[in-house]
Amino acid sequence: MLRTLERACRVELLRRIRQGSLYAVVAGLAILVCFSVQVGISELEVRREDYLAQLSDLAREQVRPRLPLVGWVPEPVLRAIRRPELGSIVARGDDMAIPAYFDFGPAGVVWARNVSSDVAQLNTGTLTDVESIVRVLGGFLALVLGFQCIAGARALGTLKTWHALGAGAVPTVLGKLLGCWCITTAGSVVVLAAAALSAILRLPNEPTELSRIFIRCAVPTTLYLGCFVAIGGAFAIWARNQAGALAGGIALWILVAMVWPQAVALGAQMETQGVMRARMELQRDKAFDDEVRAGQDSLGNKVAEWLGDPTAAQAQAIVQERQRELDALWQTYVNSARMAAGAIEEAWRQEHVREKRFERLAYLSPGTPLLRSFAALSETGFELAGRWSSAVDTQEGKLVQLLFDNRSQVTVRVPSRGGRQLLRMERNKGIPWHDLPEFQTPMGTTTETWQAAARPLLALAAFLGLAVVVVAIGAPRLVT
Amino acid sequence: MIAAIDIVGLTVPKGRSVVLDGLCLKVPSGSIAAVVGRSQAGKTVLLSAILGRIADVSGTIRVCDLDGREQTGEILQRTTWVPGCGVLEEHLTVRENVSLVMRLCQVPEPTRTAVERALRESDVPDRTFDLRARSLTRLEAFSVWIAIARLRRSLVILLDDPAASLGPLDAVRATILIRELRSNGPTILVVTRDQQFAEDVADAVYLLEGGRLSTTRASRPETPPGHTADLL
Repeated sequence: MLRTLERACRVELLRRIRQGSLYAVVAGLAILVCFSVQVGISELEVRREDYLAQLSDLAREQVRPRLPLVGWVPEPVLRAIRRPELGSIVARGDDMAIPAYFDFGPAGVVWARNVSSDVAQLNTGTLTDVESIVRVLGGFLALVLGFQCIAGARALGTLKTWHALGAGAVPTVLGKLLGCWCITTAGSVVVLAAAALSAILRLPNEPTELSRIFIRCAVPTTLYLGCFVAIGGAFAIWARNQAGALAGGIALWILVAMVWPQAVALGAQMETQGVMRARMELQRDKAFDDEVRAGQDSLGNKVAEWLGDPTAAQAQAIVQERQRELDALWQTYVNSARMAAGAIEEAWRQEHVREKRFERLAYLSPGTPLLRSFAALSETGFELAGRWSSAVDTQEGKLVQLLFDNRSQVTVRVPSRGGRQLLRMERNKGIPWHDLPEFQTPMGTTTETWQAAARPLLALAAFLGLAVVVVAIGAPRLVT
Repeated sequence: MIAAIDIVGLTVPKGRSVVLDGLCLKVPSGSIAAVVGRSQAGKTVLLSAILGRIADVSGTIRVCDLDGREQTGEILQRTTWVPGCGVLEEHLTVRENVSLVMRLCQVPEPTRTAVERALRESDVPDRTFDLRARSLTRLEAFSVWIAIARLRRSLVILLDDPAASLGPLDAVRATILIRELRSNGPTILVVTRDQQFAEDVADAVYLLEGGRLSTTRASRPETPPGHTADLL
């Protein structure tokens, strides 16, 4: 059985190698992918310029003489800036949707705004991505190749001839499809190598990282093309007539490679569109400010309770005198403000969790696992957003404790003659910015990258296995 | 005389009807038999049944004294089936095709000289040995399969309508090739739509109609006795 498989594979490989059209198709795809990479690099360069400008602004802020931080507003000196990912030249993934920088404020983190068209690309990929070229064009070519391999052999009668010579139908058919898979793999390796070379020529300082990304991306490419070779073969086996088989295969390709990934991404966006982060930030900041103001009023009321209608000097004196008592009262309002802000942010996060419902649906087609695995292996996938979210949350937690919830000064709004007079309560000396913890830029390890890609890769492998089983079950039909 | 192909009561159903209906056929060793029938009469089904490709059959089939149901593998080892003018892998050369077939049959690969001799004996022109099969004429492709049958030393050769796509002159050449091949000793069963071709090539000709065989003419004088077409 293995011998037949190997012979069928070799015969098919030889057939394709001797076909001139193979070289033309590979060359055409290589040119297309190189263009795609160049477009990606141009975009990356623009975003990197923006990143460098942000860094330079931050450096200017950091050397400017300033007073200790008071913790009332987001401080520019605390900004965390994100470097655009190199992998976005292959698969834009979430890289375009994650904010370029994060500001830490009293109520929580404020994200930099993304251009809406960029956000719209979240999880959908774009037609200029290397990933989308593989998904759409690569998938189509693999489908046609698999179909042609079996339908051609069926029409010529070679399968029956092989069977009459003692070769089993299953190993013969699987061997032929394996040959097609080998040739698509070789073609995709050539195309990705050409793309890597064109990227290295344009970005000569990052050859190692670029090579690594392209080598990693060969894995999902191989599995995905294998799926489509097998699907093409399965249609050629199971369909009653060849025209119907080809039409069915193409319809499936449109559904799997284009419609399904797009529909899943749009569905995910529909669920989150109503709870945009910007709106949440406005609500959160307002709720926080309202609680803080209530605290300031409450402190003022306490002072008024002690002194009746005090003069400014009396009020200031009692504020300093009974600071500990007022401080305790203030802390209850800080906690309450934090809870109010936290509740709004949590509700927003819960809405985001709903996206996962569509993520599960995504795995019903090999198109989306390809998209996800490309993004994961280019380090522009979900886990990038997760890493940044986690790093920003950690930093936020530290700053909230040290700075925002432990403000150096609190304004006390004391009732006075129908209005309120504002007094300052000094709580501590304040913290110089360089004494605050530095933001730890998240870095992914190779293991984490592969772990992130494991699920979509497994999904692709499962699709491939399923298609092979369908082919193996149907193969004996070809010789009876 | 031992029958190389011995079929008794072969019935092959297809849906509610039957393609072959209790067919009986004995082809003595070393002879050429032809089965003539119109399109869809069941000629190819008969060959498929002999090759063990059809599971749902009743009756008995014995090829070279081997059971057609239990010993399909052994039967395939002793049989060469040639569909039409012979199907070759078009992208391979003639030599590569011969080599591939030998490997598939798990027959020790013949020497280059042996291959060339077999090809020449089968009227395959020397200039085509290293040409890809797609550039061969139909008769040349058929000749390559005759050479393969020689190299395999097949005991039974099944020819599935070889004359269908040959011109009159090529059909005559094919007839000569088949009769020359018989001199090596194999039993040959030809199925065809062309009665003239069948009568030219075979020692005994049978007509396949309604799933059964009937003789159309007496065996050639040199044909050993033993041909029977049972009229059930």
